[in-house]
Amino acid sequence: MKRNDSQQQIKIKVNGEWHTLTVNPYERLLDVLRNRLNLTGVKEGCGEGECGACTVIMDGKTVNSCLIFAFMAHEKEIVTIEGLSKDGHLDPVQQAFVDEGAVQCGFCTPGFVLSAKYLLENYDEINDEIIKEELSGNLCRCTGYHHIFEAVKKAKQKIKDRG
Amino acid sequence: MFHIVYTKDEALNILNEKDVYPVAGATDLLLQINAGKKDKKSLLDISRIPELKGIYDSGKYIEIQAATTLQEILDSNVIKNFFPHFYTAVKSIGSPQIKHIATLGGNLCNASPASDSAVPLLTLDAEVLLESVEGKRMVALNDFFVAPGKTVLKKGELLTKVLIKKPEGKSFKFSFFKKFGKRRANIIATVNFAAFIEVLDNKISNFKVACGSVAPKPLLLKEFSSFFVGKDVKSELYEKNREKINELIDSLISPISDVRGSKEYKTVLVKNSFELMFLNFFEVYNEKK
Repeated sequence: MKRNDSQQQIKIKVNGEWHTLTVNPYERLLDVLRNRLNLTGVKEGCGEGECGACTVIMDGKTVNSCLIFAFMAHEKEIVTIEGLSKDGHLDPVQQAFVDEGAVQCGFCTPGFVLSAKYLLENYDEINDEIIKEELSGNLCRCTGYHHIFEAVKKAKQKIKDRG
Repeated sequence: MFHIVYTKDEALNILNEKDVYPVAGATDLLLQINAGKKDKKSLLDISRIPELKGIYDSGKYIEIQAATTLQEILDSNVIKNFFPHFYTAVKSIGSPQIKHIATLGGNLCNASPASDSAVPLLTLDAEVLLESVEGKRMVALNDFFVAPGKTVLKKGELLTKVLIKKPEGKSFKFSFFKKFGKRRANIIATVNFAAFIEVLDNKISNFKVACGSVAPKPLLLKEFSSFFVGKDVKSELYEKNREKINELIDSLISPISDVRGSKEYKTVLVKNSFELMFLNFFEVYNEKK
């Protein structure tokens, strides 16, 4: 890692590819993803870790990228919403959000989809309480949440059916 | 600049030589620095040091290393079984995204008067280990906080672990945590309240209550220990002493009116928490009998 006054080098893996970047210490992961790597699916809603629009998956866990110094992601693996679909096919969670009408303005959707993905990968059985608890870090101003919860349940069913 | 280290010794050396913030999750510090509330000092990433991670049973204590994340604490059966009110409190912090990277050490060193993790730990007489290149010292958590955002950490010192005495003996043990806030999730407490009570031969042998957001630091209401220890456990225990309890609360807490609530409202919440806590206590105690 080179040191040169306020700019230093880090290596992060994003959606399967390694990137070497120079960052200043206070730069947020959110800014690096959006501005340096053009991953604008990662949104800034509040900038203070309350709305979850900036959610990404880091080393397998959902995190608020607006609350992470970019250098703390050095040597870590990040997945953004752009990394979910494969060969033009939507991930089952994404598809379920579309099918259930869980998207209105769409601004909160990338964050919700990633949180839902984390939830479904970490819980064998889900119910409304678990969904509300695990999605409590994501806010939506449009939908009233009902269709989002239905989408999560539908995605769970789809994933179960695939076996 | 930022420093990334992989051993505790490296971290202590840098802390000794340079003026840096040690960070493991930095979920609150990032906001404070970028909002200009804290100086832009260099940063020392201590999140990758194996010696600072993990939860261990060392016989007399359960030890939680400082850079253990809040989620890792929730994933621990030891914490859930031995200290259920601490478990509940940690669960109430932030959101899943925050709990995945925020750490116990960070929450304590941030020294918010509303710290949800500190309040139950105070009722358990928790201690913290502070280390530097000069040596180590144990400090009772109750002596650790000084003022909002300020602790007794000296320059070069790092909080490396939290020690909680394992529950022991034949006493009946009851723990309680309640958090009040403007919404049900992802919120800083308007008031939070924790209690840990032990009963032996139908007499109270240990009585600790603590609250957050009612003083410049998380507050152990020490005077309630001498008030209740030795008293018989009878169903009128709260009702008979309600006036004295409320007077004592008034004398001990000093909440301020702010965005989270007025000082009058916060005072009512503490008084109501006492009543709620006793209701819960008798439900559980009578069932055990």
